[in-house]
Amino acid sequence: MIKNLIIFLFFSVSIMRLYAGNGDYAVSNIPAALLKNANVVKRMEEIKFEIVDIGKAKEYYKYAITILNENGDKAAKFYESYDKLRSIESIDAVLYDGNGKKIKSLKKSDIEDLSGTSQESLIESERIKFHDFYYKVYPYTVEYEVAIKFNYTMFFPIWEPQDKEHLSVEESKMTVICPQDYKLRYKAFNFSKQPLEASQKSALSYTWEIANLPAIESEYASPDWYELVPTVMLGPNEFQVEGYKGTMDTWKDFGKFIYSLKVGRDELPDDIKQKVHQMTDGLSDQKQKVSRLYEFLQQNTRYVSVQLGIGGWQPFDAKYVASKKYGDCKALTNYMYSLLKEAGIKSCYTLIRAGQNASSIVSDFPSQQFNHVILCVPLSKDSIWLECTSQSLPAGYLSGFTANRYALMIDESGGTLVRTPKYGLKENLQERKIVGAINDEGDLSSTVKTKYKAIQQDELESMINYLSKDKIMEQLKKEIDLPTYDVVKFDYKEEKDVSPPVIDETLELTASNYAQVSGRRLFVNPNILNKTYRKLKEDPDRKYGIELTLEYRDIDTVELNIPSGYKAESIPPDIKYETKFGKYTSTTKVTDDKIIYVRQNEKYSGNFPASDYPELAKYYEQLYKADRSKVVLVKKE
Amino acid sequence: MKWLLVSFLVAFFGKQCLAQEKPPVQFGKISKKDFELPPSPVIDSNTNGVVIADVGNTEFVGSNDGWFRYVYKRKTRILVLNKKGFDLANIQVFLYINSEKKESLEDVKASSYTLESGKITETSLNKNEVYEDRHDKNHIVKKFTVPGIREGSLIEYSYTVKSDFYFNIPEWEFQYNTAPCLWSDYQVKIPLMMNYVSTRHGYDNYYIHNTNTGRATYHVTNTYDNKSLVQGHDDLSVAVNTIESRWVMKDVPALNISESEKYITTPENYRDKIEFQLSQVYNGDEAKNVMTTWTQATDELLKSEDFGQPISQENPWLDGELKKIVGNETDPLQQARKIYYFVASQYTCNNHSISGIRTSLKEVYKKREGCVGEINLLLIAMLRVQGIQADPVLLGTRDHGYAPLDYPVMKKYNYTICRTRIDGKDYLLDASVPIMGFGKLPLNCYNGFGRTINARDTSIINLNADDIKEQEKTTVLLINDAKEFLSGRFEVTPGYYESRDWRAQINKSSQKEFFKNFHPGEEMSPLVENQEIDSLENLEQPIKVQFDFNYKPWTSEIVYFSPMVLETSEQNPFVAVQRKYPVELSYPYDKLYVLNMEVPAGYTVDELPKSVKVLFNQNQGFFEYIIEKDNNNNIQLRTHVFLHRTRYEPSEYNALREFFGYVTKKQSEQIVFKKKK
Repeated sequence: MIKNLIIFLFFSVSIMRLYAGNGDYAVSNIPAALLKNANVVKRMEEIKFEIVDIGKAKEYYKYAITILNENGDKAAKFYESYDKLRSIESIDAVLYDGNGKKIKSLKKSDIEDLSGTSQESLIESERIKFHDFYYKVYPYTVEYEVAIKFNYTMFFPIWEPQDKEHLSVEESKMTVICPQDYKLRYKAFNFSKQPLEASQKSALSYTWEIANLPAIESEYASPDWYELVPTVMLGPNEFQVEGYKGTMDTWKDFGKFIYSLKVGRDELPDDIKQKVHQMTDGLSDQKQKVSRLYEFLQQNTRYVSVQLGIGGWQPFDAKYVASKKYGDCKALTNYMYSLLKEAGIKSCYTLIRAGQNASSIVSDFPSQQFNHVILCVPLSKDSIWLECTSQSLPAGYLSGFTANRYALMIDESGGTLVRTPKYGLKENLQERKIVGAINDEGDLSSTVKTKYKAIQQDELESMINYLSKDKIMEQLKKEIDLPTYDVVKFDYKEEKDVSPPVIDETLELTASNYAQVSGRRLFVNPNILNKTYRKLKEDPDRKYGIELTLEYRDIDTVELNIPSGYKAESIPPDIKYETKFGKYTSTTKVTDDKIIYVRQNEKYSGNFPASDYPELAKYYEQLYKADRSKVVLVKKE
Repeated sequence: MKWLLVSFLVAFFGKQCLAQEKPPVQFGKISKKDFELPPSPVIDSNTNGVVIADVGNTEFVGSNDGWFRYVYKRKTRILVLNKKGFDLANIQVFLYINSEKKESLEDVKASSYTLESGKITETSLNKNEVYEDRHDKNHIVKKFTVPGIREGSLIEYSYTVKSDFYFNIPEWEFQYNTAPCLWSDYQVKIPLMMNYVSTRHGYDNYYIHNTNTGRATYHVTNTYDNKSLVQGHDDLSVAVNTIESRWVMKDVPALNISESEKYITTPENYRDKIEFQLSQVYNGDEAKNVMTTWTQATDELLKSEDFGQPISQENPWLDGELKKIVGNETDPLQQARKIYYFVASQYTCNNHSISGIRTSLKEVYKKREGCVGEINLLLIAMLRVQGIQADPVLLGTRDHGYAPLDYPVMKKYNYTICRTRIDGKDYLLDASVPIMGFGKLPLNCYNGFGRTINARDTSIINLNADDIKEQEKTTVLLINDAKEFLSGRFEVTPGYYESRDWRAQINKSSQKEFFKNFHPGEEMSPLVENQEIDSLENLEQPIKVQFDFNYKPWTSEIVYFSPMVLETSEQNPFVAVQRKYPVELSYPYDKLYVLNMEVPAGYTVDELPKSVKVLFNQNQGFFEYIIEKDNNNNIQLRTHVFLHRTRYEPSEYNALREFFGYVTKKQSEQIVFKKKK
């Protein structure tokens, strides 16, 4: 009896606190520490997430944010998405002035309904409800209250009260309610307090609370956002979506669910089956078979994204791709899997979070953190990785889009977390030789031969394979960092059968007035094409560590004939910088008729403490200056 | 600027071809020959896909409300050469809807044809693969992608659009962005009940262009609504004369302007395209002109509930607010300023391309947001209630394309500003753009002209980009200093619009952050002191930025000194080697730099660059570089780059690029100092 009364009181108090939001939003109530460096102050936030049963959930949230100036206006815009499996039950909002006085409430007719289809997709079922009070007398406060119903339990909200820079938090709270026998999983970052647990006869609740977080600023090369601010990730245990059931408490089990979505969808039409055998039965080497079938995939499909309902997670079947000759990453990967299966080769549909600068997934917390699918073909000695949405990448090469990160390999036994190949200092090479001449007007004519390897050739690979020849010429004529220049000729050769792939580029480049003429003197910067540009701003109060991820090596050799009748008046000294961030050397020699310049720049990866920042800034300054040193030639008497 | 206004008010017997030449394609019938790339001057090694034929047709049918609606049919065949051309298989059709009627898309057919081992395989689009997305309140977009394509495939698709919105019949684009079009063919057949005026864009010539008369029968019904005493409907069969026009272009090259093209108003100005607007309606008894003169357009706009009505009626509900805004101010100019700044700072513009009122002024007032038309018309309403003369000015913005001056093609005018007249002086106001001072207009408005919408005054207001005065002036002073070696003062006054950009930057971060843009070089001490920004808050004036800096003492025998201090020397803005389309600058180029420096103690001048003056096209601009050293050991440099025009044809591009190339070269010359023995 007493226990129930206490629980009841607990819940009542909670409910009352929900409405405590109507309290005083006067700006004068905000502690000074929370105004510092802030454009927005989150006055209160309350999230209530209820797992009703294995296939249904409800979310209720309410927040009030005070916008201090126009830089905070963006945060005042309200967006919430919905689709067939997720519906918005209600949206309420109130606008308050700087003294906390209510100005007006949201009118249903002011809510706009927008398309949620992204640029890359043909169509998605997602749509967005949007609202804005369009208020411009600062400071002001907006308070939103939203209820959402889910017909699945595959995605749980993440509690991250401080989700952007220049935002401080007065108080924020999240409560998760689930059935008694439900094992809720959670993982906290930058937050050491355990959640408050309470139980009522049929439900458990977990509550996390935090208060008084001062605003922070994002910094150059800082770690992923969730490593900097208090964050709690939630993970489902047993879940259900559109009749498909699964568990997510281990990667293995989550993998089983993904597998169940694609089982039986690998049936190929007969003519394709025949083609597979025609193409591969005569080949003895597994690797060759994989390459041949990958080539077939690339020549017979293209990327089109259609995300409707369960289609957002379940691949279209192989017959669909065979007939339409298109699909998204899931469908194309499944199709490739089916082709290989027909040829007797096992492969694994693999989930991954793709993107050059994507944050890394949390590897010890199984949950849906992925946005892309690739294929892994484990062979006897090593594995071949295939990017099935690309019509031009060589088999086995992943590029910076998906290299060097965790991925979840799926097969009938479930999911296994693996790492995709890393391309490092040795592989990411750019080697260039320039041979040319400067005349006495300062005009440069030259032939530039460059070898790009691994990640260094990614951008170029896209350009060559997706732009027409005249567009490539247009790019070259715009992007090279030289004043008044011209590209007379260009040529690209892709070496796809080496691993990692290489692109050989040859350019014939002319630049008028490349060298500055001043009376009797000629000023020549021998570092024609590889100047660094990065200069870091001073940041004496840097808080966060430095994470440098990309490793590469650039070697430039330049031989320039100088006009006769000139001699060197000033030659830059040899330079050598060796730091924990990288190594840089350059040598400049002037003979009777030539300038010979060699530059080597190696960039290392690593994690460094915030206190190393001034050293890093100094290193970049040194490189900036070194790259612009000039040889001064003067006319002989 | 090339657009042609052609009115075919009177039937005219144009160029009669010997026979009406048909498109070179039999839609629906594919043979092996069709997979071969036809020879054409617009196909080369860069072509990734070719539009073999694009045929459109607009005709009218009787509607069931006593008038007409139009039916637009389109058929297209494309040869996809390689994967770079796959985009051509993704099709979008925009449909207009309002609360009463909506356009409809019907009969969508699409197939790909692939030739493999002598056999042609067809893959067709399923009906449920035509997706619909809601673009905004008045537009839905239908999208589909043709299935089964491979390199070398043929695509054929066709569809029909039916619409009641006949004020504009569908425009026709002869030119595609990335693919050449071998045959582009548009026909319209219009009953004598309606007359249209067409506007033409682009440079290429027609292969066929003719107009004939014909005759057609239309079945019109008139369904009375239930409120009428007479139920049922009238059925009319009318046989009338028609005007039939056809335009065909052959071998049209791809437009090929990338989105990142700099110094261009909009690629749409250069695309071969034809657009239509209703000019006259004839109901059997009398002919009524629709929007054929500016007087008429002005009249319509003034009568419209979406434009003139709300600002010409009494609006007493604004009294209260105006009293608060104006306070005790009695001077009308100051009152106008207060009202203007109130609207400009309190209201958000969420659409800069709608010139009228979508909801109501009251709604806009309450919600504090609206499109550009709504915000500026609200401003006009407020000024009028205050007793200050204010009128709307209608214009088309630069990014919306060239707007005809003499004939009111309504679609082209997407922007409304305010002209207020106080004490005999006119001020042009735009309250929809942030950080814009009273009397200043955003650069996007300078697209030629604006037209005043006032019954007795339809004057044209000149808004030429060439007339904008925007000069950036930099002054540097360097003197010998007992403590610091060489101490300097840097002062820059950017033009008005550049000041606006800097103000926005400072608002976003801080003054301190902003000053970090002026990097002291290696040879200077890193401390930058006495930083000042003048006129930051005065939005009607440019700002002035100043600060002090110092050079570290020199030690070398020979010092190569760049007189363009703090990297102020010019970069050539024209990097691309060639250019197909005109260069359109936002305002005339005008940069001035003055340096006054004492020769540093302990050094003498070994070499000074030579003075030079270069003219651009005789009187259209100049580059001046005047440098001298006087007897008191002072060096003075004055360099000024000025171009009077904002628009340059492609044939002038090389000259422009070379001009700036020369400026860059000259400004990077160094002064050579030698240490005194």
